[in-house]
Amino acid sequence: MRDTITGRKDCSVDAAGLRIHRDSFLFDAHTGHFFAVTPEGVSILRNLAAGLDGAGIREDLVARYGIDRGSAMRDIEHFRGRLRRLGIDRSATGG
Amino acid sequence: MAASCRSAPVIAVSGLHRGESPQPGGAVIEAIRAFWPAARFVGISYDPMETGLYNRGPDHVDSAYLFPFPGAGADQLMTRLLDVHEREGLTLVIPTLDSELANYLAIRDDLQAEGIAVAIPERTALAARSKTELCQLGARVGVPVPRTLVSDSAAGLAALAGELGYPCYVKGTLYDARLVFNEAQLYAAFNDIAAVWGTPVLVQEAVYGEEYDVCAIGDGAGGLVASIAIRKLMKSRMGKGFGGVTVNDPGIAGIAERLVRDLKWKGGLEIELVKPADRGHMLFEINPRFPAWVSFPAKLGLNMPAWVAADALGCALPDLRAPDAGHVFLRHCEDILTHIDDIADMLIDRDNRNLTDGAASGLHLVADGRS
Repeated sequence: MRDTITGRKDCSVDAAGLRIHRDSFLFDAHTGHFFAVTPEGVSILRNLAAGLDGAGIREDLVARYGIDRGSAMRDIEHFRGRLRRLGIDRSATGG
Repeated sequence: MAASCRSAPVIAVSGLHRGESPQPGGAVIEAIRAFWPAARFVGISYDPMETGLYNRGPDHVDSAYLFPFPGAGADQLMTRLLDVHEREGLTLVIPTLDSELANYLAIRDDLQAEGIAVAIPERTALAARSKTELCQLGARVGVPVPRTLVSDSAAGLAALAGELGYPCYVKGTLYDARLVFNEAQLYAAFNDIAAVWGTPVLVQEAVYGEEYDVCAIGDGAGGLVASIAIRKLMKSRMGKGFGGVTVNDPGIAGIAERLVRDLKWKGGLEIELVKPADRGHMLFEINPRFPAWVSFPAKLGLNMPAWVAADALGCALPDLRAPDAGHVFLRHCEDILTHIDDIADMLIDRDNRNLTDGAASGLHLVADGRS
């Protein structure tokens, strides 16, 4: 579906109110904030939205990028920490 | 949905200047015209330099009249409106400036007796959202308000600012807000604001954070008809929103709903919120009219000015469809062409009834070969 005014694709917003555009741009529909995001970050966000637990997200990163489990875990924790500080990680805040 | 009232309305609208501190009138006209193309718009102007008098875009007026400043009082307003009514056959007046509302409340019944509807809030609701009453309103609906104190004198205000601490805002009861960092700046701000807007003057705790704006309409019985929230993306030097993105925050929607319910607000309003990083939304101000960006959601299917106009005239109401999050407006300034003769005509005649024919456009300039 296309918006009649802007001609933009009517991108879906997930239950947490987050919209990812071209796997590089994150828009928070609740707050109106937007961010550049890496492909690895997009993977983590999509897995969080899908309800995967830490181990599931880690295994996906290991398979997708060929990194070891320790690095994957560290990256995930680092990224989720950033999300929490930015008020985006709704699964952590209960929002 | 098209308007179904048989004859096209003649709507007088004020607040036509769209400069650095844009007024809402042009956006209101543009939105209603999109719904009601045959409507005629009569500009209520206080200054021949108001840009909306010379603009030929979709927000243009079809004729315009100079009015005495609101400070002249309700009687002078009534006299001038009746004069305009005789020539134009007004059906509705939509004042869009805070400073006009007291006068319109005083003459609303008289105007209705003349067959002219007036789209304004009720007196009690207007008072309950005033800057001096905002803390009590916030307490009733569970929204924190930056601490605000009031004084009639600069010395009194300085003493109160000492309680709040610097920096703080110095604000007029109707307009103007200055961020001051010391007592000298506070005295200067007090003098400036009191000279233009009178006393009392307010001093308000400075709260920093993301700024959100809500545009909403109430049905007058406590119901929220529609609302849309934006985060300000760009601000002018004067703090005016020059860009915004629509958001969908249930927390903000809930605040708007509670405020409209408590106030039993009738018509359009603007709710200004600040969200500090470590706290929830705080209520900064409620403006008793549409914001200057109201044509933005109207273009996306949420035409609130058209709803208010149709409601006031007893016509079929437009369908309202709230846009989803992510739509952006960016204010784009452009130059309006006119000729000094057009400004002179406005000053001399105090009206210009032929704006639709291009009398006040750049065509005049080109035809005369002057530059």
